[in-house]
Amino acid sequence: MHRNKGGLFPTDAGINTLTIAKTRRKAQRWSSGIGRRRGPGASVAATVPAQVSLDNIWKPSVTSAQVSDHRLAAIVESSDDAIIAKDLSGVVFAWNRAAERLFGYTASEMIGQPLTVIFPPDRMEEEAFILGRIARGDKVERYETTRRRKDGRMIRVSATVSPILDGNGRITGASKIVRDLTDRDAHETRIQDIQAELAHMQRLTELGQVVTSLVHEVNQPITAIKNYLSACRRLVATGNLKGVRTALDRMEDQAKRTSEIIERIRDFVKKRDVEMHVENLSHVIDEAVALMRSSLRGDGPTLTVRVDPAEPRAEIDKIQVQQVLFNLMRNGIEAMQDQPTRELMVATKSAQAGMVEISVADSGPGIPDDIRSRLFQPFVTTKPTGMGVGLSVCQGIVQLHGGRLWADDNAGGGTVFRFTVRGAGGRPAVVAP
Amino acid sequence: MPACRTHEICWVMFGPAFAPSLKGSDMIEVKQPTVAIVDDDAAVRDSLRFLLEVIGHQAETFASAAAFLKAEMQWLGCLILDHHMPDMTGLELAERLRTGGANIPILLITGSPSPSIVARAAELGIDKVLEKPATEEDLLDFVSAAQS
Repeated sequence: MHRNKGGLFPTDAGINTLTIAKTRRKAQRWSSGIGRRRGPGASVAATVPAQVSLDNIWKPSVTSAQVSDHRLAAIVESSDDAIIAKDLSGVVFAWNRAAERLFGYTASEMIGQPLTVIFPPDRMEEEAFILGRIARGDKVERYETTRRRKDGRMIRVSATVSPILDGNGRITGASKIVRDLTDRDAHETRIQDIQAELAHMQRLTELGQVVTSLVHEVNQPITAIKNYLSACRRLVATGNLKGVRTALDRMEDQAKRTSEIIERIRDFVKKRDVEMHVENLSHVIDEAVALMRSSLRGDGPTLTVRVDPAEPRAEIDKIQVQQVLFNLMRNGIEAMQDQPTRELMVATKSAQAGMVEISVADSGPGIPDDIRSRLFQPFVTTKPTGMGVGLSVCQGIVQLHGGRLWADDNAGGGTVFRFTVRGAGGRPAVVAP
Repeated sequence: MPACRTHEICWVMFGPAFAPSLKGSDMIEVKQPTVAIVDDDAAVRDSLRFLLEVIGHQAETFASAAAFLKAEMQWLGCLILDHHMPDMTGLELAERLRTGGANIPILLITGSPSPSIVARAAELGIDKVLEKPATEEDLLDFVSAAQS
């Protein structure tokens, strides 16, 4: 740790900015200012210059620097962060107003008491750890822990503890800046809740979309198994074991096929980490189109795929991009439901800065003006039964790929959704193991 | 013609492997018209052919409507048709056949027999519409009625 005498006191944990500097040994001056971390050459020291000064704040008796001391005292007192000082045995000798608010104890109640008064019983050993570090001249930065208020309520706090040096550089105690994390934690919890809720709804919507194709796909091997079973029953009756064996082998194949389909659906729905690989766009798109086709009834729209040979590969998470494609295709197809011509085209073309643009164009009625500006917000939808999370989820995925997603009017009527992903820049596709 | 290529590929991939290996004593030798099965799923059409052959029917499988049309089958007894196929659906094939004057019995099998499919099937004089997977009883009722 730095321990230069004329040091700064960067208050990382504090709102910003209490710079405490000692200019001379005897005439100590306190000034407020912007306390920032400095480069290695600058004078950085995590030390409050002298215990005397801190004493002065609460027990003003020194006359030479009284005005400055009062100014500093005012800053300390008005700080939103609790500022506490204790000696090396852990006994409190300074306790500002924010500390009173945060912990519920007044300064007069706390001064002279061990700081462990505010420690929960199961965290008592933390004090020995903190004091041990301070005694070695080290700082404890943004230490997140729990403390107990006077009313018994536990609060989450972040504490930064620094050694207090006297004029001779001797460690005489510790200054402690404590920030209340309750608001931050509550805020983060709320954001996490909303995100979890969105993710859950996304999975539900996807599941609904996938169920249709699942039903169709699983129906095939089950139909085959039923046929072989019927045949088996007859073959057994006639004692034709050779035929039975043939039928059994094929049933086994079809049972395996069923498990594979279910496994695939499970993979599709499962929450997973993003895995970026160089992929052939035509494969990625063809697979998504095939899944789409299998979930369509016989009278689906015309589906065309056109991949730009100039940039045939992209670095993407294949499953996620397929989810985006699937969503956009489904949107397009649903939009075209009552249209005389129903054409869906999925195309790629190389875009600026090494990106590839993937577009899904429909011949539907276009996007209503009142929806357009809110298109990517969650819970905005034109569908009577839609949840309106599809596009916002798509946008999240595209942003994760460093691209963007937007909608244009299709020249021949309808809408084109376009999104960009990073091109592979000539790198070959990764062959799946 | 892309449909033909699909058929060839499917045949090469699935045809020999899935063709029932019942010979001689396994089969009941009856001279009768063939049941044509058109389904884009190899396992579905081959299992159905297997079952019909065990029962003693002659059966022939086709991976697509186009493949069936190309084969120009003689001695066709009846047609079992999957509706949900790419390129040409079962209903479209039935329409083509009826327009061409073919009045063979047709069984249409579909994963979801919606009212519009059922109505269209009735217009085309399709004899029966069954939901997939169809029961053995329904299937064999149709085949034996058509073949008799």
